[in-house]
Amino acid sequence: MDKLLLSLHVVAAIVFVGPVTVAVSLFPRHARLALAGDEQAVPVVRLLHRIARVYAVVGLCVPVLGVALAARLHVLGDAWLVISIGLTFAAAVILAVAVLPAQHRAVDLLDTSTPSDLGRVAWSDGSRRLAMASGVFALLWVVVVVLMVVRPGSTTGV
Amino acid sequence: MPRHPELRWLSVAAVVETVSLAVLLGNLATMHVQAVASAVGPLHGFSYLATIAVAFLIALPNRIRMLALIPGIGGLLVLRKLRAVDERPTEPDDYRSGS
Repeated sequence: MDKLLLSLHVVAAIVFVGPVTVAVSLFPRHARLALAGDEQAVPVVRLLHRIARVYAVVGLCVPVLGVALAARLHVLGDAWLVISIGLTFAAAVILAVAVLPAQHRAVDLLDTSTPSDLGRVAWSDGSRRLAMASGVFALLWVVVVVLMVVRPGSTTGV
Repeated sequence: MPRHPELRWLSVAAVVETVSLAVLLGNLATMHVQAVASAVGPLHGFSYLATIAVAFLIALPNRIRMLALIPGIGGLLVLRKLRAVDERPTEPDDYRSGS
């Protein structure tokens, strides 16, 4: 059961969290293009937003499987794991509070405004914040993955 | 309130949330098989979080959305509330078939 949970946890992390990271990092540039009037970028923006939303929800199974596995292995109190959980939580909050709402606003603007609207200009001005939040999100995941691989101080051997 | 295609997601997550909890409690009360707890436990945890996430991602009134936080039956409460809101206007009910 431990090996099954570990396999599911790793596969889910690769298949579900990977696409979110890619979609989130590509979104700001394509959204800027689309809001500036580039018609070709519009469907790209919609798809990226959809990938980010759907896979973020499905990706919730990754921490759940991780906690279940850690509880079985009695490592929930280990420092490397506590730090990983904290960083994962921070990444989730950034995604839910900063990244996805900003993406949603951009898609809304595409639906309801023309390229010259002030709302679009304002969004493009604010897009640097979205790009920064997206970068921090990706960086947090890298740190968590490294912690999961290196597991400083771990003796489980699984 | 416009019909939302993502409401189907919410109903799936809500049903899994409640059914998996029932399975867990049933297992605890009867045979208490460790393997069942290990398999269904994460499923319940995931469906609980997914219900909350979907409820907060789709356009819902905040008051109804908060119901999703209630463990075990939150998702079903949201769906029930939405049906109640939906039945009030004179227009035909769109949600009923989906839940």
